[in-house]
Amino acid sequence: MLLRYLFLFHNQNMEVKVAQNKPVAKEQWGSRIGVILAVAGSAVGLGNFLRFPGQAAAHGGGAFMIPYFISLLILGIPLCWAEWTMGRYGGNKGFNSAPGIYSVIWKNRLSKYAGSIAIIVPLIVYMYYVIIEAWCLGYAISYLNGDLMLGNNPDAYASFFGTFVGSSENGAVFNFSATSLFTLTAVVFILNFALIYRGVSKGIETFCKVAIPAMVVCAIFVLIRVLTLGTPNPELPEQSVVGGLGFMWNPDFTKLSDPQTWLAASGQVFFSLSVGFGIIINYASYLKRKDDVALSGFTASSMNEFFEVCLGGLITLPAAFIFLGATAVGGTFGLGFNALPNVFAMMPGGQIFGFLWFFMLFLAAITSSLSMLQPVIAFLEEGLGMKRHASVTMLGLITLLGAAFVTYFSKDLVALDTFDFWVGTTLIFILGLIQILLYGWAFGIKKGEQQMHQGAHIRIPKIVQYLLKYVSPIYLIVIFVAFVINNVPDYFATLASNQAALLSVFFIGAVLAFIALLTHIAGKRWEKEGKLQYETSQSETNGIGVTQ
Amino acid sequence: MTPAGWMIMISSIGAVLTAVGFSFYKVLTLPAVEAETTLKSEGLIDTGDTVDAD
Repeated sequence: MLLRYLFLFHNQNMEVKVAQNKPVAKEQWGSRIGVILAVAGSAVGLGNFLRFPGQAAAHGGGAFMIPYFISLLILGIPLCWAEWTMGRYGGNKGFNSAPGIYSVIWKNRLSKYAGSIAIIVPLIVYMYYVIIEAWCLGYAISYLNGDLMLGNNPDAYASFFGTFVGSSENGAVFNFSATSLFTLTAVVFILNFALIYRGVSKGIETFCKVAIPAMVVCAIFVLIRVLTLGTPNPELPEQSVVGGLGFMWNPDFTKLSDPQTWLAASGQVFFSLSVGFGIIINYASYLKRKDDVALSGFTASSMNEFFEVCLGGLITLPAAFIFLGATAVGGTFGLGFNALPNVFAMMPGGQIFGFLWFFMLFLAAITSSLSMLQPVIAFLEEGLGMKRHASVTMLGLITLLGAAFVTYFSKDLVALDTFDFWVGTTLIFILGLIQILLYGWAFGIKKGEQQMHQGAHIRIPKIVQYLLKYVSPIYLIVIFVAFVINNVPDYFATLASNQAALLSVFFIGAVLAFIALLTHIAGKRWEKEGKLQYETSQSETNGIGVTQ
Repeated sequence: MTPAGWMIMISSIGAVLTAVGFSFYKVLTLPAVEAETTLKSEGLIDTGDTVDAD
């Protein structure tokens, strides 16, 4: 029934298209700085402020920066450039969604299905990320009304977090008070869709132009506060600002011989820059033919590093160490939602600085979640011929279903964790690998270099092309294999023992199948429209060509 | 904090600030983007802002 509806829908829209027979203005970014801020906004998130310091402290402190910067130069920035280049190329061939862009680059029937992964990743990640976004908003509000000033009692903060996110039992957050997680998730959900409905330039770009500078201001206020704390407790002189910085930055070079350090550093760079999310390729597709991608890609990456190294590296762990000592380091959520609230409660002016901190995290999260919706909107519009109302409504219904699923299965945050592992981590590795192979081996580094320098304002060294073709794929494969060996067996064991985890995997599978079906329909539609055409004779058996 | 810690912290932050400073200086001092001529294939796509959402 659904299949029949979708085919009917797609045929109707094609008829409308033919009947209208008039060119429609293509959506584009309003300014150069706008696209840079939007890409930086998509990359900057909780990982910059919470995950990075934890990873650094656990893997050699300052020594961690050596593999970190090597990974940034070999893997992170080159892959960013590749995504920007392929995205702009695909956009100028008439596609804004990954299935179409991949079909332009790799002229094969399967390419659009590979591209559908770049729709699935942001779609599913949004389903749980919007809830984390609501956590940040909830914590910011709790600072304003004083609910989170619970004194020096670590258990009180753990209890607050557990109650707020409903980790005690499934369905625990389904209450409708003004500051409940359920209500806040609904508010954040609507806010995201209100912004995305306005479009790339009027929605995403306008919001990022305000949000990113606001984030910088909030973070700098908190940074100044942390760096002027001195030694709050004279009885513990080692717990000072300098001691906190030492805890984060003092190098332990013996850790460099541990492969886990290199794995952690490259993983941090990979996830921090939002490569392999399907977002950069979509954002870059709205660039004009002669718009620069080299300098823009470098600027967006540098900005992400500014938030991560200069702000995340100086604020989070030093602050936690000053008040809580070396025991402060926990996981991302433990550090962010248990340890730091405890720190703010003990800090002079902690209520206002706690608000600024969580409001900044909220802004960071919303600029990221917005970027997750646009690739799917673009796909629904160009793949199924939907108008903005229809595409936003359809995406709203799909993501509502997913967010409701994650919200309900809140016990021990199993659904959130399962979504994050299988899609927010594993599938991102796979997509990153596909994109890097697509650039190096299907697009080709000769054409890639030429395209990368079209309209470029900086010269990218030729060695980057060889890195992208030979070194980066191998580097990524090694990381991925190590990741699978280290993590996948445990998650398979969880599936066997936890029903919520199993249901989450079924849910992911259903979304995968649905998007694959839509991709198939979109492919047929593009072929019928003449945007994708089968090549004649010999190549007809091999794949498809794209009208130039 | 050890001297090596100071050195790594200052060089890491210095490298990032240099990269951000250089790239933003280049971006903000560039001339305005030229008006784009419409490409042939772009006419078929409608992903526009909500001027005509229905």
